[in-house]
Amino acid sequence: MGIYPSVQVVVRCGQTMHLRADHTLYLPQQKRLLAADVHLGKAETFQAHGLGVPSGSDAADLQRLSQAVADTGAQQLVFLGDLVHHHSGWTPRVRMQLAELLTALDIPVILIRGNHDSFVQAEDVDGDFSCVDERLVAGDFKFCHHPTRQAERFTIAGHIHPTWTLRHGGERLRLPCFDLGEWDLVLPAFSSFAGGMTLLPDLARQRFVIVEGHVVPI
Amino acid sequence: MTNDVATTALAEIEGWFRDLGWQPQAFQRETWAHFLAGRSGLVQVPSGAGKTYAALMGPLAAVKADPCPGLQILYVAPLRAMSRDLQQALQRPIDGLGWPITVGVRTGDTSTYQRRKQRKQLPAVLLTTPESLALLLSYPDSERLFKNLRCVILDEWHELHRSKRGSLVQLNLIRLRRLSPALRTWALSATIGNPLDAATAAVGSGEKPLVVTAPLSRPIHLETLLPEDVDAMPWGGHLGLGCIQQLIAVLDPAVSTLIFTNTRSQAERWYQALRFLRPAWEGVLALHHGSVEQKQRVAIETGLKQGTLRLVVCTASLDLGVDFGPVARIVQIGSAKGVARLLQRAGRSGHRPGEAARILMVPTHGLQLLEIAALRLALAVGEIEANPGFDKPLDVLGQHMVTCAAGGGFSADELFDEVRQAHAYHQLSRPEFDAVLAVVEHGGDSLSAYPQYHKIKPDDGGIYRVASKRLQRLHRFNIGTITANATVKLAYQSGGALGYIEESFVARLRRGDVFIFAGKKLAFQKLHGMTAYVKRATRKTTRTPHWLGGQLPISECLAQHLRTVLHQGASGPEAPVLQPLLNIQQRLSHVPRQDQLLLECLDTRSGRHLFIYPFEGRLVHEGIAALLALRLSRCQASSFSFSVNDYGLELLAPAEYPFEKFFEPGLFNPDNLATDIAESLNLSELTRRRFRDVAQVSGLVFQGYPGQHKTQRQLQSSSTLLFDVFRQYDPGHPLLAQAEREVRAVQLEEARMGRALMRLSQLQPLWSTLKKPTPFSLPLMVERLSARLSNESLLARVTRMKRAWRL
Repeated sequence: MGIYPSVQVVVRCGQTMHLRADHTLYLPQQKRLLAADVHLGKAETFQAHGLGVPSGSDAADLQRLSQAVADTGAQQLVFLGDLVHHHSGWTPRVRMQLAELLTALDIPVILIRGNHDSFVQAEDVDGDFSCVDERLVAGDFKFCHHPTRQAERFTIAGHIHPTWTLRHGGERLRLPCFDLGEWDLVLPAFSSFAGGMTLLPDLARQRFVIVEGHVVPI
Repeated sequence: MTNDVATTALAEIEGWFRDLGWQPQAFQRETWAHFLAGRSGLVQVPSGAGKTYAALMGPLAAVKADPCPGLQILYVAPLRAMSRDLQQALQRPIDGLGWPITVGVRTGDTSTYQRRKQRKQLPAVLLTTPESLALLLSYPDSERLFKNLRCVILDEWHELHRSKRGSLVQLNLIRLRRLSPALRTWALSATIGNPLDAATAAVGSGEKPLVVTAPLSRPIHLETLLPEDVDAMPWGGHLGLGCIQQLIAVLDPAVSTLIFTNTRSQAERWYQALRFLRPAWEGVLALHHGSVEQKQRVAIETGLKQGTLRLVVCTASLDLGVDFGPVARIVQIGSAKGVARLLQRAGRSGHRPGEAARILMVPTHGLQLLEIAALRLALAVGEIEANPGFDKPLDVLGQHMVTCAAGGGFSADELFDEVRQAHAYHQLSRPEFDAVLAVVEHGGDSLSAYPQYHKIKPDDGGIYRVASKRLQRLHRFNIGTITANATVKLAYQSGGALGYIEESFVARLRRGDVFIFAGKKLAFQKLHGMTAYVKRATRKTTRTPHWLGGQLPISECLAQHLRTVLHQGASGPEAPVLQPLLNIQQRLSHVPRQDQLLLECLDTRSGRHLFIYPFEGRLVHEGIAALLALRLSRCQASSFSFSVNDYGLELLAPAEYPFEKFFEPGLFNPDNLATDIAESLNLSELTRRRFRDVAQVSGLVFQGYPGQHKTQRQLQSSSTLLFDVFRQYDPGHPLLAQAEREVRAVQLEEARMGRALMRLSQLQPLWSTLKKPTPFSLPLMVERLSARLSNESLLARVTRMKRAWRL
């Protein structure tokens, strides 16, 4: 009955990955921490469009992120796109919050721009912050926003916010999950204010759902 | 002077009646006179008696006597679908009399061109829906549009008045009265238990309403289709096609017949079965329910009217007032669940005044005969349910505030006084009002939580207005309070819409899966945007789409009669089949008297079952089951599963759980009900589901601009997600409290549950240890275990579910 605070997976290139219950991925050989789809400023975007949704999820999410960096001792943090939800939510306050995080972490942070945050520039945020488009190749891994499955280099992506639905009798539970294939891994959305796409069963892929601080292989 | 002219106009109207060979009825004349005397009120007569003309002719005569420009009479109907027939009904006397009075329709279906034309100059008589009325009021020139309005007619008010839409109408009416102080209001209602309440809701608290009733009580003939073989009647199940052969034998395609079912899936099943067993009826047989595409529904209604369609299987979709002319026969599959609903449905037959209404009841299982016998008793006693409902919905109030801000602005003090005149809000306190105002103005009480939010704001004079043109537009798209569960459109891949289907059903389909919809076998192809594409299939299937909220509980009034029937023993036409069933029950256990509470214990491989029969309806049973499970688990920790139906409830505990030992009347004590319910039921889960509705009404869910769905992705969010965000970051938000209040009042029927518990605590327990299931308990055992009392964490649930998978 596997239920773990994090799950270690060794992929075909021989590298180890830690699938963490805080929705991040840690690569110990590279000392890199990855998070996808943080969607900062989502509440502010809603507010700017006349939908009264309270802020607060950003602060909680960033707190979770700095905890993850502290736990793993990561030397670099990579955002796999959609760090920011929308330009109308990219307010000074949100930028300030991010800058404060960078100062506290004191490690380089890289954003691979996604479909939501193509407008974000490195100079928007004070600190060791840089942006790249499309992809970043690092050793045996390729990091990008949109998932791709190419049988040459192991790809780690985000974008689709994968979730898995457990069913038993009349019960139904929908939970965020990691979606692992032979050549790729899709991370769950890091944001606590994000929906998701329900994955369909696929024998060629392994899913790990996240539930109350635990990772459960399905 | 005008009144004399109006009387002359009325005489002309009477002449028109005579030309058609009609005679104005006393209640119609009475209503006309009351209107011309400046009064408002409610007309309560059975359907088909001539309510529309009772309300219409007075104002029409006044318009003729004293013509003014612009809108004079506003006719509000709950369904868009009713507008075509109503327009004809309104047009007919005007054309017949040759009066120069214009009639127009304005609903969600009206073209933009028409709507723009109407905004310049509204017709004298306007037919509309509650939502379209609210929209009109959101325009800054609403004062000009409504200043000459004389009368508002509220059709089918019994359907609306205690609902959220009804609250919206009440708020809008107060607004209209402010714009046109001489305005009179006449509501039209079928027979309900609380007419004065409905009348007060219609006219507001500023005036004493009149209630006009007609002594036109149509006798109702209730017939029951009894199975030939007593043993052939199943003991449980609600789709029950058991009696279908017999029904076919009495159906006659030459006689126009409506076959009412209680749920859409039941309608689909019966339609399919009828088609299969009687292929010759193809062409005269049709299926009508709320999810069938609008055009098809109109075609069916027309076919029924013209006599080309004879047998229509339908749901509550045909309950409301669309006038079909003569439907000769009404069939009800299963129980009608309430007296008012039975009357409404029976009233669809033989529309001539004075003629008896006939309804044929088709039971789907044995105990339903008990319900039918109870209905018979209720009819004999002449008791009808009061309309249950829900007061001061804050989400509707929030929506109304934005509407007022858009329609010329408001000052907080004035609006508070105004809102309190609406019956639904007469108990609204100033702090409640201010909390809702804060939500609309700042997002919530905690200012720091909503830095970017500005929907309405006051100007220097304290007049609230909508912050921007864009937000005004957004709000107009959002007006309205009916919220269906998320539905997607169903269409052929080759083109052609079929209707709407619940998203949760589609989500479980895979490409190629076959299901039945609107009587057609369809193979699912793909879901694209908000449309599910299908093609025709030939393969067989057993899947029928399910729709939420299908199963109504039996009404409190009916439940009471049901217990009386049990107490007295079966009599009447149902007795020959019902009594043998009760005899079996008596032999295996007991049939409880009115002062007894039957408790049955049964041991099976699954554990120890306790069956209790309060006969209070499924919602109350659900609450009681959870409550008992909690209170019993305090005596000895255990985990319980439970299931419920309209007659009783079942608690399933591990083997040898000593139910008898812990049982005492105190278990039913209604004290601490509120806190125990919160503890026993997964209240937050229920509230989460309810919140969808609240969030949509109050404009928290972005509905999208028409034709612009794709570009607004950044504003999409599910309401369950919103619920979590609110609960975590603004737990004091009034709309969260509103959702919980709705769960307690509407979903759990807390008040009814309190009354039921009070009754149960006074009954004498009658224990029975069973060797095998009884007619009462078997339906509960086969009912899917519907819920469980669980203190398990999410993680524990996942672990358990995973374990069950492995097995």
